[in-house]
Amino acid sequence: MTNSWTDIKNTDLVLIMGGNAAEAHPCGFKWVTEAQQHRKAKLIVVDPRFTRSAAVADYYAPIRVGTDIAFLAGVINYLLINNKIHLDYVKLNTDASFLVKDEFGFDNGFFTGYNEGSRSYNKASWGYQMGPDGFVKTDDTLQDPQCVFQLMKKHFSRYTPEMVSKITGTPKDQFLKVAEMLGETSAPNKVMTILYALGWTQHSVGSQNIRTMAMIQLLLGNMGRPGGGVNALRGHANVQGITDMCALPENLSGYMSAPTDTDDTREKYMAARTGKAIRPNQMAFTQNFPKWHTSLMKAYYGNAATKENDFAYDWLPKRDGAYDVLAMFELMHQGKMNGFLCQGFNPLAAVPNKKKLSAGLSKLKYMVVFDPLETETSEFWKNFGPLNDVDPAKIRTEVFRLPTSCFAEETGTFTNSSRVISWKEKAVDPPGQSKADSEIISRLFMKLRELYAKDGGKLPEPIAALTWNYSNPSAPAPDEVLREINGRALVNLLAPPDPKNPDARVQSRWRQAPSSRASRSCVTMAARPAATGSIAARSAPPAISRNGAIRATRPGWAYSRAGASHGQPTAGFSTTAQAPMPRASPGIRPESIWPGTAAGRVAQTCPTSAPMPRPNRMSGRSS
Amino acid sequence: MNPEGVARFYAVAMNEGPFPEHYEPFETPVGVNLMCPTNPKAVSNPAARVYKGDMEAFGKKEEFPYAATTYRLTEHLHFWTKHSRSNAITQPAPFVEIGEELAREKGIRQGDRVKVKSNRGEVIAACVVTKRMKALEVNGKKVHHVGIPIHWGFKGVTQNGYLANALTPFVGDANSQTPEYKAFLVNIEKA
Amino acid sequence: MASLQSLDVVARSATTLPTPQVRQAIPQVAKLIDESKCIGCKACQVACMNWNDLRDEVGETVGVYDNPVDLTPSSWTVMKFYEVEPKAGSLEWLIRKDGCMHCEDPGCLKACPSPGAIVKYANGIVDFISENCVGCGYCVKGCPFDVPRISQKDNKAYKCTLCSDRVSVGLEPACVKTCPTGAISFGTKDDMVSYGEKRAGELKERGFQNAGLYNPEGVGGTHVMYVLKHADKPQLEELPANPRIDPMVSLWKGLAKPLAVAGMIGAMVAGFFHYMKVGPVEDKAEKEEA
Repeated sequence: MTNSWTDIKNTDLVLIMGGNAAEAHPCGFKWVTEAQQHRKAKLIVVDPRFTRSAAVADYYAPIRVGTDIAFLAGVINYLLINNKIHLDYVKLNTDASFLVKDEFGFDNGFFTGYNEGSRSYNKASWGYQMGPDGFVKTDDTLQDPQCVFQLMKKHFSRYTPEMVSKITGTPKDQFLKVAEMLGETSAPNKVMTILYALGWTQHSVGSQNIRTMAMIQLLLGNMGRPGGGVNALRGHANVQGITDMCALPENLSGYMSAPTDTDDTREKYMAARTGKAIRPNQMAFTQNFPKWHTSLMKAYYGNAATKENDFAYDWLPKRDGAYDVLAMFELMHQGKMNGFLCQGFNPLAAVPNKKKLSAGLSKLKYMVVFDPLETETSEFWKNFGPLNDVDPAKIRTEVFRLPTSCFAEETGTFTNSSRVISWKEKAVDPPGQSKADSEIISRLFMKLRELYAKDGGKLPEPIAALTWNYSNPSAPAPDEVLREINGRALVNLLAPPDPKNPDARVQSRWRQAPSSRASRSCVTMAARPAATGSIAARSAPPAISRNGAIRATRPGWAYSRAGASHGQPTAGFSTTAQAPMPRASPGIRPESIWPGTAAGRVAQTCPTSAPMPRPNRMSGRSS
Repeated sequence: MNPEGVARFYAVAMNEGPFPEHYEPFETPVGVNLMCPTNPKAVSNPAARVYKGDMEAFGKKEEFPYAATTYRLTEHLHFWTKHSRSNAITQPAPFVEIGEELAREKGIRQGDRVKVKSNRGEVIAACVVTKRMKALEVNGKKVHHVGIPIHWGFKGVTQNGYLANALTPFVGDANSQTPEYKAFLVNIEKA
Repeated sequence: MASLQSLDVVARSATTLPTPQVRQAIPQVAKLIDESKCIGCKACQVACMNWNDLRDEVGETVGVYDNPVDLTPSSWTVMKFYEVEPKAGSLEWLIRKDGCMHCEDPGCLKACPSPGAIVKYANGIVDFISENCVGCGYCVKGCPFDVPRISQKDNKAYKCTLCSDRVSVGLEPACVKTCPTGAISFGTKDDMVSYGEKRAGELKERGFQNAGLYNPEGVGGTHVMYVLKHADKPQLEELPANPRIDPMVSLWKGLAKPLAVAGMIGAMVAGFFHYMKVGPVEDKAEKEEA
């Protein structure tokens, strides 16, 4: 969610659409009831069913499943036509004034550049018009027919209330009432928030569902405001933590896009992902992608990742295709998969088209299920009458069951929808021989490493060199993993000398005795540091699960790293060379870099929000 | 934060278009995209990935006229808590939900066992008949919804039930590949 | 064993002995259930069964969200869901947490023939002292809200205890602690009445013109109160509009007793006088011969 759970109490209107917040998030829902009671906020629910959220709502409107874009596009049209937008906000904070390429168009269901055979778009005709200065051309009057604002008006003018009602089935007067209530929050002193969940994401147009709402919130001026925002309510207790730690095949930790087989060199990989400002004075945060990636590779491989070997770029797997959950089971169904490690996941129950799933699982040579419960997947081969009508004699898959601990039987963290990370203590021992997922994965890894060392094999280097510095390599302790995620300094960085007293002893520039702090990162270790050490991901889908713990997060988050954000040249680090002194930045005092100055303050005072400008750029920050 | 430094109304990064556009779910009770009725190739998301075999497994509205959706109930968390007795007591047995009008049409009464079928499988469960789901008028025709909570299976301490994903289609979002669990077609009859 | 001390008992079933009066100024407690914040999540049901170590059967579904469908000896609170249309064309889904109302004038206590099987404490909680229960079922008949249930296993009656064991050590009942939206509040009766009336006022502002506090006079007020969205029509949620103890119970346990005793004494006195005046039955034939 863009805002936070507690922030919901600050809103004037809550729209629950594409989700059922009272049903699925009863504890978080109390913030909605708080807003209703204390700020007299109104609650609108738009859903195919009159749900438990609608039971406590002020207004309910029905909608046909899968037609949310039509409804929301109709709202956009209503807002634009009736001028219920926060114009100053739109001018200042959006690309409404940007000019789009003349070749771009939309006609009868297709945008320009559609390739029917590959079911994809060639996006060459999309994109902004660039000026000779390398920046996007804009029209601040918002009148140019090729400016985004006018194109939007044209595009959404087709979503009249009559058309919306025809498509969605929502009676026209009810649609208009909802649009009117939303439109009222365009006033500068009113905000609304949207709470959505899987009712929007689990569609073939899921991403666009959410995007349309984000556009509405931008028109209304509700983004970045207390009580505003587009609030995705996450599901499983630690799904936010899992996605942060990259349990998605397209990402490395911290949502860095993973390399594909077209990214044959590191330069090419970086070039496609490193951002460059396309408007004056903008920061383009992804300009730091190289630093983040270097930081990550140093975390994975330590001294084995050097400038000379491109920071071990060649050791990263390059995706040759899609490996999301549907792609994976499609491969299985085609008989192209030998084995499947199924960790905290019940695909027979959770993935669409059970018949296809069952056929796919039957084609595997082996499957290992890591789960505390007896899942349907682990017994997919047993006949349960009409509930699971299979013939065990025809299924040759060998199924191994490794019992794991449950969430209350392990110490670790949960990251919630608000991206707040909480540490949790183990309450009881797991029964019998159950082990924590982290221990199982670690033992598998150690065994693999041993086998590679003994028997050789293709490309054993990444396995051999992987950083695995735990006191018990077969069972890493959660706080060790947490520290690793938190990051560490590779070299000791001294605070810059006091310009007024450059000869002052080094000691005085260090708030703590250097020897005890030398190897610690700049970020606070609060009494209960929190990070997602728990890779006991209840819904982790990967076939082979990498140990998420070894990936460092990127700076700009609560856990920032010493090196990358202190004006180091982007070429990365060498542990032998003398690290240059970090450049003092206005507003960042040297002693605040070191832990212990004020409990909890350090995480904020570390330069998270504005990384140091590169040496060859002007020092001003973005506007 | 992004290269423009401002929020995007116009987003080139999206695979099906820089502006959102309505496309029907892959199994649509309407059969046509009313925003572009003359373009049969743009009924559903033209940029979504569909595997061979899955396209053929989509059902058509003539055989499966009702719009179905799957969802969670508060009492359970997906497929875990059917193993927990306290949760099982509060929501013990599988059911599907339909509106009163559809129930009358099909001669189904509250609590009757019904069979819900899609082109990929079937679910048999008790039926909740409710005022909370009303038929919607879509393009001049009535569309009924069938609601299918997902929580039961053949393991656990709840009453055993059919896995709801026996019904769902194998297609996902064009950008994230999240499967389309929430909009597909079924037929329903007394079991 | 009472959950609170015997000194706290202010009413005891089937007992004419006066109750202890030595304690002073015990605050009355009450639980307030605010229907407008209740989302029907059943966390209270689970909390109750976990605190009291109860596990009901995993039942079947009869086609409603209510599970179990009604109170049972092992389910002391259940959520009941009502789809109603108080105004034509406007659907509402009212969700009510059913359970013992802890009446000020408890019908169960009045009806119970077993001494000390039902007690009321000074703080208002009505508790079943199960070791004294004989399973006669009179409490079920006596309750205007149809709450107590007799267990088939041990032939004893059970119902919500308002967590008298938790309250006695200063904790709130389990359901209150668990409720995620704070729909259930707990405190002194006066505080809960004033908060309930405040909530009813806020609901009126929101558009529920007939919102109000359900604290029925007919049983002297209750220690479990509801803030209802439609307080003028509690029958929409199967709550009696004007609950009272059944007059038959009052009669049977009230006037009928002294009348019966009077009748018995009268019969004895009449019998004595009859014997004195008329004497025993004699055989006339024998008397005449002698």
